[in-house]
Amino acid sequence: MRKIALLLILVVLLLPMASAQEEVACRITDRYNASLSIHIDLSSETKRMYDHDSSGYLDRAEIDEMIHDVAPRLNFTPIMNYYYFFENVSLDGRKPMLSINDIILNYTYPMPVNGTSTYGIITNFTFYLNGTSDHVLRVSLPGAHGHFSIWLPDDVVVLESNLANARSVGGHFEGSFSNSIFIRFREMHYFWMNIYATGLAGIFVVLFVFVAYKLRGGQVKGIKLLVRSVLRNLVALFIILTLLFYLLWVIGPPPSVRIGGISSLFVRFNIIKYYHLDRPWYDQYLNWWHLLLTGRIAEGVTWGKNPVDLTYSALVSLSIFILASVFSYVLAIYLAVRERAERNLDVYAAGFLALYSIPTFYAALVILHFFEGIPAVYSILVAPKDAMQEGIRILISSLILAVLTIARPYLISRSLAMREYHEPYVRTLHAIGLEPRKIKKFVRRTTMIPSITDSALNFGWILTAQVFLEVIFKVEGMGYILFRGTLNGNPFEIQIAIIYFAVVMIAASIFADVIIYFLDPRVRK
Amino acid sequence: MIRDMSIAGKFAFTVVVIYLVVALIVPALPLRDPMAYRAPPTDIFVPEAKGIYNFSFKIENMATYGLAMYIISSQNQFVVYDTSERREMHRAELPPDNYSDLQILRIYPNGYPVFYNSHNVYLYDQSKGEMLEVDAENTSALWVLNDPFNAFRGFVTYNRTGLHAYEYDPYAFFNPITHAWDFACNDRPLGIHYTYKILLISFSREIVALNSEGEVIWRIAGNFTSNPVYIPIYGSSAFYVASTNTILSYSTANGTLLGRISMPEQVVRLEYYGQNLYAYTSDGTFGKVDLLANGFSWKIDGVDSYVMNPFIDGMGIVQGERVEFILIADGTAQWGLRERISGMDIGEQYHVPYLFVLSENRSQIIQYSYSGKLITPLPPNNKYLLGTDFAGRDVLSQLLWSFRSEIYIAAVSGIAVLVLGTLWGLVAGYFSGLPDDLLLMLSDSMLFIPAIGYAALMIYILGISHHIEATILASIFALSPLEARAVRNYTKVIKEKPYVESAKGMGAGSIRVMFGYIFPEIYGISLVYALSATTMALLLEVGISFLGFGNYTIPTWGWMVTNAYFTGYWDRWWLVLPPLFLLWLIVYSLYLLSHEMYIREYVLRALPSKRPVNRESAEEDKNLGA
Repeated sequence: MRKIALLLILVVLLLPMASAQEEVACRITDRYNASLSIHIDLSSETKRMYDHDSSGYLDRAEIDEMIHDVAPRLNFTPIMNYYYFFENVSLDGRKPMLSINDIILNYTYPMPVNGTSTYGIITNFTFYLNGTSDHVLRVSLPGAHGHFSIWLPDDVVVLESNLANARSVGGHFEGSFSNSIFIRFREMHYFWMNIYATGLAGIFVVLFVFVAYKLRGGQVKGIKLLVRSVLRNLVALFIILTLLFYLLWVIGPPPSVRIGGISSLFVRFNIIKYYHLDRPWYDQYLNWWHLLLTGRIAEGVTWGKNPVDLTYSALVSLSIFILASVFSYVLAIYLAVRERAERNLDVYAAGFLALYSIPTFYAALVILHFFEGIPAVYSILVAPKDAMQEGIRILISSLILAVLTIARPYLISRSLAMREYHEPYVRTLHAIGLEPRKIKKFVRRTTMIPSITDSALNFGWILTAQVFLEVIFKVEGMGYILFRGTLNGNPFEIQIAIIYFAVVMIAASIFADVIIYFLDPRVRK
Repeated sequence: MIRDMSIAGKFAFTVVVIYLVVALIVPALPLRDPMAYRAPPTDIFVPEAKGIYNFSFKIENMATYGLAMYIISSQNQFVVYDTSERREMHRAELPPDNYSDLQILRIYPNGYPVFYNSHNVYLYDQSKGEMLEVDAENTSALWVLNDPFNAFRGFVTYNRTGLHAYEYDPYAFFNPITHAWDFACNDRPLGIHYTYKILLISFSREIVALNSEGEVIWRIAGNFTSNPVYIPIYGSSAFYVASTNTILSYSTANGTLLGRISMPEQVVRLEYYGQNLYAYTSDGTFGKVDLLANGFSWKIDGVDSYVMNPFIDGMGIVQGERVEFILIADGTAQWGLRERISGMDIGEQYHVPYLFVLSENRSQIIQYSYSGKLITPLPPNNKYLLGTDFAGRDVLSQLLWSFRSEIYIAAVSGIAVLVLGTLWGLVAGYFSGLPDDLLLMLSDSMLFIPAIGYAALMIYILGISHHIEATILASIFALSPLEARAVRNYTKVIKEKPYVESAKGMGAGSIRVMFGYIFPEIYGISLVYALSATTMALLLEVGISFLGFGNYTIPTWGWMVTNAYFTGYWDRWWLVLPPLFLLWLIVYSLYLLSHEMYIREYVLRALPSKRPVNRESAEEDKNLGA
C-alpha cells in the first residue's frame, strides 16, 4: 500500500517534466509565406529540477537538458547548403522549406530559477499550395499539448479542425491541441472565382460555338473569304494553344517533377510562382495567356543551365523555313511546267520521291557526309564563324530542305501541268502560234493554285524535316530547341518551339489563302 | 478480295502478311538475345602485334623481363634486346654447348636471367652489363628463388650429387654469387617451391622441407607426381602437391595432411596466380582448381604447352597449331592465332601483359597485346548471318526482334486512328451543321502542330524511355484529324444517297443509319487513311529513335540505325541497310496496299467522287490519297 502511494506521489511529481503547456501560434501571410512560433512557459518548479548545482541559475548545459526534455521535437531535414525541409509542418501534403536564418531561438541566459521564464522558437517558412481553393495545414508536435492560434489572410475561413474548444476570435482562430494540429481552410476568393470561372467558361464555349457557326463553311467570295480565313485560323491557333497548355501544364506528372530536371529546388519554386502552377486552372490559364500575349512566355527558356538565344533561333529557323518553302515551290512549279511530256513520272519525280520516301534524317546524314569531303563547305555548315558564313549556311540548309521536301508540290504541279497542256485553250494558243514561253505563263498560273492550296499540309512536313535537318547540321534553330527540350525534359523549350511551329503554320496557311485570293479569279469575284 | 488485286497489290499484301508472321514467330526462332548477347572474345578480337622483331640469327631460347628480351642464339651468343629502342643492348659470346631455358630471377625492380650449360651456371646483370659464371658440373635442372621466398635471393641447381643452393646479392662488392649449401639426394626433384622461409622439394617418393640453411625440417613419404605450390596469402600455412589423381594439401609447419582435392586426371604440374591454384594434367588439360569442391572450375582440353607466370595476369597456350591468349580469371580465350610456333613467353611492360611468340623459323619474335584488337562490327559470316554491331551483338537477331515492336507500333496506331478518325468523321459528316463545324475546326486546328511536335510533347509527358507509346500517341494526334476529314467528306456524299434516305424514312435511328448504312460504304476510305497512318507512325518512330529518344532494352529498326550512327559505323552496310530496307519495304507495301484499296473502292466503283461537296477538301483528299 505504502509502495503504491509512494509511486503515485512520484508520478505526480514527474508530471511537469513530461508535459509543459505550450503556446503555438501560426501566421499564414500569403500563399507562399508563413511563420510558426512555439512558446513554452517554464515554471520555477520545472527549472529547479534541472538546477543540479543549486546555483539559482541554469547554465547552458542545464538549459539544454531541460529544453531537451520539455520542448517539442522539431525536425529540419537539410536539402541544400542553407535550406531545410520543415518536417513537422505540411501544407497540402508538402513540407515547407526554410533557410537556416529563418529559425530564431529566444530565451534568457543564464536563466534564473525563480520566477517564470519563456523559451521560444520562431520559424519562418515558404511553401506553395495546390491549385484549388481548399487547403490543409498539419502540424505534428508529438508529446506536446497546449494552446494553438492561427492568423489567416482576410478572405480565408476555417472549415474543419481537430482543436478542442475551437473558436474564432477577432482576426484569428484558436483552440487547444494535443500532439497534432489539423486545420482545413478555404480561400473564399478562389472558391467564388471557381464558380464564376466555370460559368464563364460555359458562356465562352457557347460564344465560341456561335462564332464557329457564323464562320462555318459555305460559299463566300471576295475579301470576305480572306477575313473568314484569317478568323478561322486565329480560332484554330487559340484551340491549338489551349491544347498545348493542357498537355504541357495540366496532365502528366506534378509540376515539381516535370520541371525538376532543369533547375534547383529554389528555381523550381520560382517557376511554380511564375506559371501560377499553385493556382486554380483558370488562374493558370489566364496567366498563361497573359504571359503569351506579353511575350514573357519566352522567358522560361533562359532559366536553367544552358539558356538559349531565342531571337537567333527563331530568325534562323524562320529564314530556313521561308527560303526552303520558296525554293521548293518555285523550283517545283518551274520544273513542272517546263515542257509537254506524255508521262508525269519523269526522272525528277523519281529522284524527288526517293528523297521523300527515305527517312529525312538519313537523307540529311548522307548529304552531310557528302559535304565532309569538301572541308570549306563542311566547316561553314557545322560551325559558321561570322554572319556571312551564317548566311551561307542558312542558304545551303534551305536548299537541302527544299530538295528533301519538293516531291509533293512537284508531283501535284506536274500532274496538273500535264493535264493543262492537253486543255483546248492551250492547244488553241499553240495553233495560233504563240511562243511556248508565253503559253507556259498561262499554264504556270493554273498549276500554282492547287499546289499552293495543298501547301498548308505540306508545311507540316517541311517543319518536321527541318527539325531533323537542324539537329543533324547542328543549326541552333527552333527545331534544335525542340530536340533539346525533349531530351532534357525542359517544358519551356518544348513549349516555345511548338508555339513557334503553330504560329508559323498558321501564318503560312493565311499567306497561302492570300496568294490563292490573288491567283484564283474564281475566289476573288 | 485478294483475287481482285493487281500484282503490286498482291505483292504488298504478301509482304504485310510475311511481316505479321515474322513478328508472331520471332519468340520461337533460335535467335540470340538481341541486347544482352555479346559475341565470344575470340570472334571479335584478333591478335594485335604490338611489335615484330627480326633477327639475323636463329634463336634457341628466350625470356623477357620488362622492356628487355634475353636471347640465346644457335651460334652460342647471349643477346639482350631492348624492345622500346628496338636494338641490341648487349651481346656476349658463350662457349659452344647446349644451353638451358632462361629463367628470370626477380629482385625488384630488376630481373636477372639465369641459365646453365653442362659446366656452368650463368647469371647476367644488366645494370652492370656483366655476365657472372658459377662452376656447376653436369647441372640438369635449376630453380630460381623468387617471391615469396625472402630468406635470400638466388637459385638452386641439381646434379647427380644433389641440390646446390647459391645466394646472389646484386649489390655485393666481391663475389655477388656465393655458394650457400648442398643437399644430397638421389632422385631428381619434381619441383621446388617455397614459403617465406622454407623450401619445399617434391620427389616422386617423398617431400622434404628445408630451412634457409639447407637443413631438413621435416619429410613425408608418399607417391607424388607434381611440383609443390605454396600460395602466398597472408596467414596461409598450407601447400599443395599432386599425387596422381589427387591434389593433397599439407601443412608447411610439420607436413600433416590438411585436405585432398580429387581431380579427373593425373596432375603433373601445379601453378598459381593470385589466390588461385591451377593444374595441368597428363592428358593435356589445363584448368583452375576449385579449392572448395573437387575438380576444375574451368578447364581447357588439349593443351600441348602453356606459358604462365605467377606475376602476370594472363597466359598463353598452344593447342596443336593454335596459340591462344587466356584470361586466367575465367578461362576465356581472348584471342587466337593459327600458326606453328617454336616457343613463347609471357611478359609485362608497364604492368601491361604481352605474349611474346617465337616464330617457327626461330628468327622472329612477335609481341602480341593481351587484349587483341577489336574488329567489331563484324561483317556477315557463317556464324553471324548479318554480322554484328559495334558491341558484338548479332544484327540478325536485332533485326528480327524489331519486327515485333514495329508491327506493334504500326498496328496499334493504325487501329486507333481508324477507330477514332472514323467515329469523328462519321459524326461530323452525318450531323452536318454545328457538330460538323466544330469537329472540322478541331481537326483543322490539330493539323497545325506537326507530328514531330506531338511526338516531343508525348515524350515529355510519358518519359524518355516510352518512345513507342509516345510514337503511337503522336500519330493518333497528328493523323486522326486527317482521317476524320476524309471520312467526313465521304459521309456527306453517301448521306445524300437514296437508300440512306429510304432507311431514314423507314424509321432507322441515327446510329443505325451511321453504322448500318453509311459505314459499310466508307470503311474503305477509312482503311486507306489508317494505312497511311501506320506508315507515318513507322517513319516517325525511326525519326525519334534517331533523335536519341527510346528505350534501349527494346530493339527497333530506328534504334539500330541510330546505334550505327552514334557509334561511328553508319558506313557499314549490314548495320544500316537491312533495317532501312525492311522499313522501306513495309512502308512502300502499305502505300501500295492503300493505293490499291483506294483504286478499288473509289475509282473502279465509280463513286460520285467527281461531284465534290466541298472543293477544297475534295482536292485535298485526292492529293493525300495519291
